[in-house]
Amino acid sequence: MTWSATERLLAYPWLVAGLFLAGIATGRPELIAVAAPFAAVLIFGLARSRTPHLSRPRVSLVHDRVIEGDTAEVKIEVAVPAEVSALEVGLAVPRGVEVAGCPNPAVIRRGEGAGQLACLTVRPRHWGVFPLSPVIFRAHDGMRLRRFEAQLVPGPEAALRVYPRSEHVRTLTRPARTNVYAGNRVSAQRGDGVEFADVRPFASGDRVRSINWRASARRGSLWINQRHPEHNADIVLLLDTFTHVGPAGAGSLEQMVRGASALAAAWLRDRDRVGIVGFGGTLRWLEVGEGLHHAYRIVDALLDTQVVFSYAWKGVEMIPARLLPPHALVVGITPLLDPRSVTTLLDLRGRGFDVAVVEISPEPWAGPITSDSAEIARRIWMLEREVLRSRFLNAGLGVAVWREGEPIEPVVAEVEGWRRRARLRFR
Amino acid sequence: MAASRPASLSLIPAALALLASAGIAAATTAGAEARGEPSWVVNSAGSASVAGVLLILAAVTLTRAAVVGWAAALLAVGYAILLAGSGRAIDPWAPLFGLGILLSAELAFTARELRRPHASTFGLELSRWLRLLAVAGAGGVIGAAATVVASTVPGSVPGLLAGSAGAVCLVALAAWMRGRGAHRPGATPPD
Repeated sequence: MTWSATERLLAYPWLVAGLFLAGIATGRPELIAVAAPFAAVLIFGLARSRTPHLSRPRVSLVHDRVIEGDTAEVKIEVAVPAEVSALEVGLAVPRGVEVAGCPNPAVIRRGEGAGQLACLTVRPRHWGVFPLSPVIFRAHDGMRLRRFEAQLVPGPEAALRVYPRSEHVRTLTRPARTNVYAGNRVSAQRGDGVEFADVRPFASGDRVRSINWRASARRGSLWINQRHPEHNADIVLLLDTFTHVGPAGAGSLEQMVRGASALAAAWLRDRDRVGIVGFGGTLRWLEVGEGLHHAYRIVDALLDTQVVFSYAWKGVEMIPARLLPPHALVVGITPLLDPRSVTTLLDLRGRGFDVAVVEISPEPWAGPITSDSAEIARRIWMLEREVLRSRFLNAGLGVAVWREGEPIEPVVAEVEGWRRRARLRFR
Repeated sequence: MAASRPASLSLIPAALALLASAGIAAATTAGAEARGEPSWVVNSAGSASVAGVLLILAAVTLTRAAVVGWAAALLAVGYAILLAGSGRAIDPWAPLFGLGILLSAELAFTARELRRPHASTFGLELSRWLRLLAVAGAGGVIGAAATVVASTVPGSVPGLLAGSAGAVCLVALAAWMRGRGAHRPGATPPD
């Protein structure tokens, strides 16, 4: 451990030296008598002070993956050196993490239990990956003249992964078209299934159990029930990572990831295939897949989502074709602030993709209105956004506004409602 | 793991530090008046002592430990002014003044330390204070002995040399500690 002087050791020698010199200069032995207790404390304290040596302290996370809002325990194993009576163990917490329910630094006394273990409970304020910060060990000598400190920097593998706490979404946007694979979604095609679709004349090879006896009796020939098969669908979540508005840790990016996590989990529960495309300064993606493992892959991919600033123009041509399977429903989650993402969504619709948009409202982070001109500017901005939404609706993109703090399910229901009405109108 | 004390417990040493420093200031002023010192001596000694008390108050309320040293120095200056005006008579209470100043400084430091999570318990704190009082008491006795020797053998050349050498050593130690005090290895955990 390295040592540094405490405030006592910084003050007392000056005081004693000053009193000694004043006593000698003025010929007053009383000043030396005044300095004597300080000098005794200095001499005794420094004579008994020994630099302690820490023997291989260890830092680990009890659980390295937690859900947003939960707590994680950092376990610190250390043997208190014989030279000191107690050891302070402190964690330099990174931004976005707070120590919950326990003092930081914690205190370990010598001989207190066999394990000599300190557990610090930390609570991340939002989702993300938080590398474990350096742990600082601190001790004082008997007279608290010297402060001893050591620092342990955990390896890069020691990181706390905090997954977003996603809400349970039951109402989902139904894709216009489905795949040929089995799933929970009633397909528009006809084949084997549960939902009744239509009747048709009997053909050679049809199963007898499919005969509709009532229709056959009425028409005098055999008629067969046709049904809608249950298929799954491909969903691509297009995350607009061009811009971020709001404070770090509680802005549009965090809301976007939270929404994407909830929607991906809901669609995966319905046995659909879900993929992620982070469309921004850099393009990041995860191809469509299904199942529990893919759900974990998606959440891990979402944790790495970040805004990378770029001036380069990026359009739909930047997205590899295999990321957008034919018949996929593309759900854009965007604050609709960057023209590149707006153009890309309209281009996707123009190329025949089924596109829906969840607009993350940037209004809460627009800042206070301090003047009349600012109020006019805000109203013009709101009108422009309204025009943009109208463009989307006219192009056949269902769009709904998702405001901070609101659940996403009503937003998805609004998009689905609009899509249903539009489908009826265009039919 | 030892539970840290609540912050309100730091009020006890803080109040005691204030009480001790106020007692020293009062003793200095009262001593000057009792000896019939000139008004400038009474006023100067009283002002320096009161400034020391105020600095102790600032140290325990603002938790600025660096101020404690200056407060102790001002209390000592107040006493030195009292001595300067009192002629050649030896003051037998000098070691007690030293002990009082040390006590108020240590209490102020302790009050500051107890306001943050700290590696201390009641048992540890008690043993530290007992050790501190024993050492400081021994220092006071040595100081008293030095005073007696100085009063009986005035103008001692070996004493003068030893005192000068001690002062020089202490100045060197203080200068070295200043360098060590500026050293802070790595990041520090929150206080």
